[in-house]
Amino acid sequence: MRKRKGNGTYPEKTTPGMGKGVPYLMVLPSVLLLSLCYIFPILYMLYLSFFKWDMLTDMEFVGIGNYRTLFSKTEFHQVLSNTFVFTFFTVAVALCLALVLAVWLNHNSKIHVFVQAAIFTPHIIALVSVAFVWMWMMDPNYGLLNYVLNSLGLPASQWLQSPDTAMTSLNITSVWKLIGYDTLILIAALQSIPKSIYEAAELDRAPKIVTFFKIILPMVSPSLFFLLVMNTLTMFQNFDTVAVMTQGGPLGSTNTLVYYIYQNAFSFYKLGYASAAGAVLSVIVGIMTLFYFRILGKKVHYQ
Amino acid sequence: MADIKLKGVYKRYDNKEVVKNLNLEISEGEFAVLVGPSGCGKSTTLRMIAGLEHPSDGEIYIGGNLVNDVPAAKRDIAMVFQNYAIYPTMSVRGNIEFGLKNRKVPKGEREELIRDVCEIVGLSDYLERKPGTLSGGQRQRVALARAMVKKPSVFLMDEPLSNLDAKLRTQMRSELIELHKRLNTTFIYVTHDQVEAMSMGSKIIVMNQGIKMQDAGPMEVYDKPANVFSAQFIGTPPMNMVEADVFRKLCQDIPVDCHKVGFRSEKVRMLREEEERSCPCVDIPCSVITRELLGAEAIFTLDSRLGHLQVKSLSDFLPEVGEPLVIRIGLEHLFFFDQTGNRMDNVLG
Repeated sequence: MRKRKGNGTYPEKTTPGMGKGVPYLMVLPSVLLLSLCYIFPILYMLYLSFFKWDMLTDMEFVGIGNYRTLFSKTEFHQVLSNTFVFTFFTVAVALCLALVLAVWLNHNSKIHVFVQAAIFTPHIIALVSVAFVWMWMMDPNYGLLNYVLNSLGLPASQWLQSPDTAMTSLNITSVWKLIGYDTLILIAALQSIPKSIYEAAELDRAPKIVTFFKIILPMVSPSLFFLLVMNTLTMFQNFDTVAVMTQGGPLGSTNTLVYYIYQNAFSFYKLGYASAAGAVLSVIVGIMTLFYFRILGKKVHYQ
Repeated sequence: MADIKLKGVYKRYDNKEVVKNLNLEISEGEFAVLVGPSGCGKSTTLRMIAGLEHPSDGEIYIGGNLVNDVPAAKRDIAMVFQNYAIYPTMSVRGNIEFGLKNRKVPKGEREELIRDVCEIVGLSDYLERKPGTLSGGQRQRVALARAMVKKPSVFLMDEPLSNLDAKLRTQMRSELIELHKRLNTTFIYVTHDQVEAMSMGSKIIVMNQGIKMQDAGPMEVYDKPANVFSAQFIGTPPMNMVEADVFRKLCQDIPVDCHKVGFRSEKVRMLREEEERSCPCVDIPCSVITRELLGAEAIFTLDSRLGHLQVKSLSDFLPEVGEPLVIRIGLEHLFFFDQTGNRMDNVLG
C-alpha cells in the first residue's frame, strides 16, 4: 500500500525503472493483433475498391470507377432496398413477438419453463440447418406449410419459388431463428423488476396496460435497445439463409448486400467491385450504429 | 381515517399456516406496530390488509366494511414498501403524481397536492430528479410522499426503515412519529426491530409463528408481558429467564405452579459484596464473563448458580472480567410464567 503524505493525498504513482515507453510496450501485443485482424482487412478492402482485379491478372487502378458503376446499377439499388426491407421487417417482427412472448412467459410454472426452453432451441442450431429445415417445410409441392394451408382450406403459397413471397419466407425463417434469444433476454429483464413495483402500481390504481407502457417497458428499454442494435447488425449482414435457400433469387428478389458481395467476389471474380460494395456496407452499418446510439440511446433508461 | 378489524384470519400456503386465527382491532388514528422475528407472519398480515394477499379464512374490515373481496386499489390505503418500490424511470414528481393521474385528479389540484406533500417531507428541490440520483433517505421520502399524496385513510408500512443506516433510521423514526401526529391517520407499521416498535407505536402487536402473542400499549408490553415470548422479545438485552426449580434454591417464596422466572437485565443492581437488605429482594453471587462498555451504559454477561445472566448497568461500578460480585433483584421485578408460558400475577411484589 502507498503511504499517505502529510496533507492526506497520495504521492504520484511511480514505479522504479519504468520509462515512459514501457506501458506502450505492454499493450503492443494486443494492438498488433487488433491491427492484423481488424484494421488491416478494412484498409485493404478500401484499397482494393479502387482497383479492377480478378485475382489472376494484374491489378488495374480505376479510381472511383467501381463506386460509380455500383451506384448506377439498378441491380445494386434493388440489393440495397432488399437489405433494408429484410432487416426492418425481421427485426421489427422479432422484437414485438419476443416482447409479447416474454410477458407471457414471465412466470415459473412448469409449462412456462418448458416453453422458455423450447423457444430458445432455434438459437443453438446452426443457421444453415435452420435454413434447410425451412426449405423443406416451405416446399410448394410436398412441404409441411402448404399441407397445413391445404387442410385448412386455404390457398397454397409458392413460398421461396415466387418473387412475391420469397422475401417474406426469408423473414419468417430469420424471425424464427432470432426470437428465442430475444425472448430469453427480455424475460431476464422482466424478472429483474421487483414484484413490489407491480404492487405499488396496483395500489396507485394504474390499469395493467398503463403499468406496462409507463413503468415496465421503460424498465426493460436497455435490453430492448441492446437487442435492436444487435439484431439490426446481424440481419443487415445476413448471408446464410440467402445463400442456402434462394441464392438471391427468384429474379434477384432476395439478394441482399452481403450475398451480393460474395457473389461478385467469388463467383464473378470482381474483387475491386465487391470491395467497393463492402465499403458501402461498412459505411451504412456505421451510420446506423451511430444513429442508434446518438438518437435512440438518449431515450433509453439506465438505472 | 378508518379503524381496522381482523376476525379469525388465517393464511395458508400449501397447507403451511403462516397466520393462525388472528383477531385484531386497531382503532382510528392509532399507530399500530406489528413486531416479531422474521417469518412470524407480520408482513403477510399487512399484505392481507393491503389486499395484496387474500386471507385463506376469516374476515377483514376497514372502516366497518368487509373488504375481503375489495381489490387493493379500492381499499383507500397507501403502502410504503421495504425496498420503496419507486418507479425508477419516472422523476420524483412523476412518482408522486402517478397515483393522482390514475385517479383523474385535475392538473391544478395535482400541482398543489404535490407541492404540499413535498414541503412536508422536504423534497421540494428534488422534484425533477430521477430516483437513481437520490440517496437512500431521499428515496424513502419519495415513497412516503407518494403514499401521503393519496390522502389514504390507512397508511401501511412494511419495514420502511430497514434499508437505511443507523443514524438516518433514528432520524426517520422521529419524523414518522411527527408525521403520524400531523396526518392523524391510522398507521400500521411492520418491523422486526423491537426498538422501532417501542419508540413509535401507540399499540404493539407481538407475533410469533403466525400467532398473536400480545397486543397492548408499549409500556404495558414492557411492564406486563403476556408470556415468555413477549417478555424476551421486547427489551435489550432480552429478559433473563430461569427455570423455577433452579430459582427456588435462592428464594423459596415463588408460587408452586410457576414454571419459569424472569427478570429484566436493567432492573438488577450490581454490588461489590452483600449489603444489608432494605427491601424484599434476592441476592445472587456471580462472576463476570464478558463486559461491553457502551459509554452511558454497560452490559455484563455473568456466570451464576442460575446459569448465564445478562445485566445492564448505568452505575460507575464496572467490574473486570473474572471479578466476583453480587447482584440484587427486587422481588417486585420478578415475572412468573406458568407451564404454558403465560405470565402469572406476581404475588410477592
